[in-house]
Amino acid sequence: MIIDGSRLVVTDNSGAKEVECIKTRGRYASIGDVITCSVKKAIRGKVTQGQVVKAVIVETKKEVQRKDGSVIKFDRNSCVLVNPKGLPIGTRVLGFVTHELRARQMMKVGRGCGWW
Amino acid sequence: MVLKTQTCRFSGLRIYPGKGVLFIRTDGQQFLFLKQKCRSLFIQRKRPAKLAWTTLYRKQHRKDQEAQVARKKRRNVTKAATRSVAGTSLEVIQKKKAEKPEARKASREAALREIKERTKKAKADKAQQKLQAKASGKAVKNVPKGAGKAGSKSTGR
Repeated sequence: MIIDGSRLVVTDNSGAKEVECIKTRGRYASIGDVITCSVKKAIRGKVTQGQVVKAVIVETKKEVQRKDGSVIKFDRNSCVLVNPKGLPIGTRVLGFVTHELRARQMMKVGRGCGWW
Repeated sequence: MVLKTQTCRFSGLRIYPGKGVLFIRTDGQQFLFLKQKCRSLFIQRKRPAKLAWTTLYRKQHRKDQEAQVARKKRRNVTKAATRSVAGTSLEVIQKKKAEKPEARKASREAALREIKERTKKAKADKAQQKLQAKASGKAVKNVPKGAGKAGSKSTGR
């Protein structure tokens, strides 16, 4: 459950470390959704502090219900920065990427995590 | 139909499909909890070994020992199987096995007796030959030196 103002950890090597959600489609966003956010903390990399970027959510503290009845949850909210086309800005994903992203046509993000 | 079940990380109880919550920690460890009770106690850092209703506790305090005793212990027993060995077939071996020890002994003695008789006969023949050779005064040289002794040795069997 990511709403405006939520802070997320960035789990890729784009340079951003923490972002704040500034716009979601709908009331709240969940795993696989693309949000607009502003970079709050960044080290040297492809993005700088204060930049407005798109990001896809990969982990949430709120549990996600799957179709087979299983439920999955993480202990942090995290995202991976992407460009407007949905391609990842960084080259590697350091955290977990769930199956939900496959359904949202975010295969390139999964590739950074080592899906294939 | 056999349902594929998983075990709860905290309580150790079975989790049927559609139940339970998979919690993934940032260090990559996965925790599967059956219900909110387990999850809550895990977050409170309670140790399942101290709670009487968990399977870990029951195992440690040997609560289900009766059930374990009831289970039969299986042991490996090696059976000596009779097989046909080079030349002799299985039937022959089994027939010999079925024979009574007395019958076997009798047959063995008979065979031995026969051999003894045969050797005795051979010895007698040789002695006769020698006598004949002496009588004629010839062909003594043709007989090998140890021939007489060799005959006596063969009776050893």
